[in-house]
Amino acid sequence: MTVAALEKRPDFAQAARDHLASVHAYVAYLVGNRSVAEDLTATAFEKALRNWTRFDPRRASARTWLCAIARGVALDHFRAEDRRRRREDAYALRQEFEIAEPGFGDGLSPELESALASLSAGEREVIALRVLLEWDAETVARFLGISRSACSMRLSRALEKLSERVASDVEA
Amino acid sequence: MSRPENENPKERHEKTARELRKHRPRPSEALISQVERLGERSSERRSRPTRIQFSRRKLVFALAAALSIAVAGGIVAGELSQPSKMDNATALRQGLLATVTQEKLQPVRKAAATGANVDQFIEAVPQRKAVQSPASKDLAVTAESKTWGGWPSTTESGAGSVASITTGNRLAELRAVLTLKVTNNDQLSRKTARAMKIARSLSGYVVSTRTNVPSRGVATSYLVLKVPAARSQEALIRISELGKILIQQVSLEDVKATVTAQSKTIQELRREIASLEQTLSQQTLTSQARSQLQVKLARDRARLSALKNQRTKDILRGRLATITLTLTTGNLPELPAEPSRIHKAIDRAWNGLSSEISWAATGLIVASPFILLAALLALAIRARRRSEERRLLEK
Repeated sequence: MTVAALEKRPDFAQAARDHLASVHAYVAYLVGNRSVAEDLTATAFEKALRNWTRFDPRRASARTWLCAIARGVALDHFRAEDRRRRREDAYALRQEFEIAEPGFGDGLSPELESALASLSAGEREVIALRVLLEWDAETVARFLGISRSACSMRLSRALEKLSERVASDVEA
Repeated sequence: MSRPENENPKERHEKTARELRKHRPRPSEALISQVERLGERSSERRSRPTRIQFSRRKLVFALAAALSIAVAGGIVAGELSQPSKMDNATALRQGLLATVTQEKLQPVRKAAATGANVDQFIEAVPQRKAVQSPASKDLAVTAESKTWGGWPSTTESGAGSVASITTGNRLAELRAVLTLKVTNNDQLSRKTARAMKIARSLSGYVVSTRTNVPSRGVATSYLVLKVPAARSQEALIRISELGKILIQQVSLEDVKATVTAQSKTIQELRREIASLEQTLSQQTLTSQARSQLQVKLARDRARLSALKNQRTKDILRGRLATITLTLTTGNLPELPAEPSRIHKAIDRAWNGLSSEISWAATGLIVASPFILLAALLALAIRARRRSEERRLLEK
C-alpha cells in the first residue's frame, strides 16, 4: 500500500462511529435476532480493529469493508448454529429459541416483523443492503458475488414475498 | 398495513421500503460504548507500524532485492563463464591463436634473426592484439609447441612475408596452413603448378591437390604438400611468394621427447629379450618354465616390433613438414567489428540472466502440475464455501 493510500485511510474510531448503525442494521436483518445481532456486531468490530491495517480504501469503502467482515462473522454464526441444530437433532433435544426477541427495529408492525422473520437470511440480506443501507445495485451485486440482474431479481422477489405475507397476515 | 386492491407492485414495494427505513434497527447504548472503547484502543495502536504497511514494503523490497541479486548473479555468471584474460605469451604457449600485423612482427623478425628464443618473440607481440580470427593483411601464427627450438636467421620475403618457425636441431612436427590470394584464374593454375614444383624441388612431394575453377565466382585450389622439415622454412618462404597472404597458421609439435622415450623402451626391451634368449638356451629349465619364458619372449618381440614401427612413424613425422596450401581468387569475408567493453559486459550479463531464466522456466515447468492442482483445489474449496454460504442464507 502506498503512503498516499495510507493517508487516505480513515481512522478506525471515526469509521466505527460513522458505520456502526449501518453494520448493526445489516447484521440484525441478516440474523433476525436483536441480541445476537448486537453480539455479532461487537465481534465484527473487534475483528475489524484487528485487521484494520489490511483495509485498503482504494478497493472498497470502509462501510463495505466493515459489512463484509460482519457478513463473515454472521456466516460463522450460522455455521455454528447449523452444527448445534444437527447435534440437537441427533439427540432430539432441539430447543426453539430463535426469534425469541424480534430484531428488525423498534416500531415495526407485528405483521411486517413476522413477514421479515419468515424470509430467508439471504432475502433479508438483500433488503438490508438495498433498502436500509441504500447501496446501489452494482455495489450489492459485487458484495454478494452475484450478477446485477440476479441481485435486482432477488430484491424484487424478497419485497414481493414480504408484501404478500404482510397482506395475508392483515387479511387473517 | 392494509393492501389496497389497485396498488401496483412498485408502489407497494416503495411503501414497504419506506416503512423498513423508518423503523431501522438502532444499536443499543451498550454496543455503542463497546465500539467506542474499541475506537480508543485503535488510537493507542496507531503509532505502531501497521502490518500491511510492513508486509507490502517487505514484499517490494524483497522483489527489488531478488531482481538485483538476479541481475548481479547474471553478471557474475557471465563474467565467470568468459575465457580468462591471458596475455599473448600464455595464449601462444597454450596454442591459442594470435594475430599480429606485419609491422608489429618486424621486431620479432629481428629478434629471430639474432637467434633469440621464443620468449623474446612472445614478449614482442602486442598485448592487445590477440583475436580469434585472422583478418586480411594480418599474419596469423598458431603455435602448439611443447618445446621450442631456437630461431635461425631468416630473410625478408617481400610480398610473401612468412612467420619463421623452424625446429632447429630438435625433431618436431611442423604443420603449416597457408591461404594465398592470386589475381585471376590463369594465375591460379600457374601458381598451383609452381607450388607443386617448389615442393618437388625441395625433395618433397604432393600429397593431394584439388582445383575448383567455376565459370563465375571465386576459383580455389587446395594442395597438401610434404617437404623435409629441414627445408620447411625455405618452402614456406617460396610458397608464400606465390600470392598475397590471407591466412597463415604454423604449428609446431615436438616429437623428440616421444622418440627418445621410445628409444629408451626399445633398448630395455632388447636387453630383456637377450636375457630371455640366454635363459632359454640353458638345458636345466623345466618344460613349464620354458614355455612361460617363450610366451614372454614372443610378447616382448611383438612389443618391440610395434614400438620400432611407431618410432619410425614419429621420426618421419618430424622429418617431413606438412603444408596445406589454399590458393584463391577471392577475399576473406569481412569480420564484424569487435564489440565494445560495454557491449561485451551486457552480452555476458544477458547470457547469465538467460541461464537464470531458463532455470526458472525449468522450475516452473516442473512445479506447474502442482501449481495447477493447488489452483484447482483452491477453486473447489471456494465453490464449496460459496455453496455452503448459499445454503446457510437460504434458511
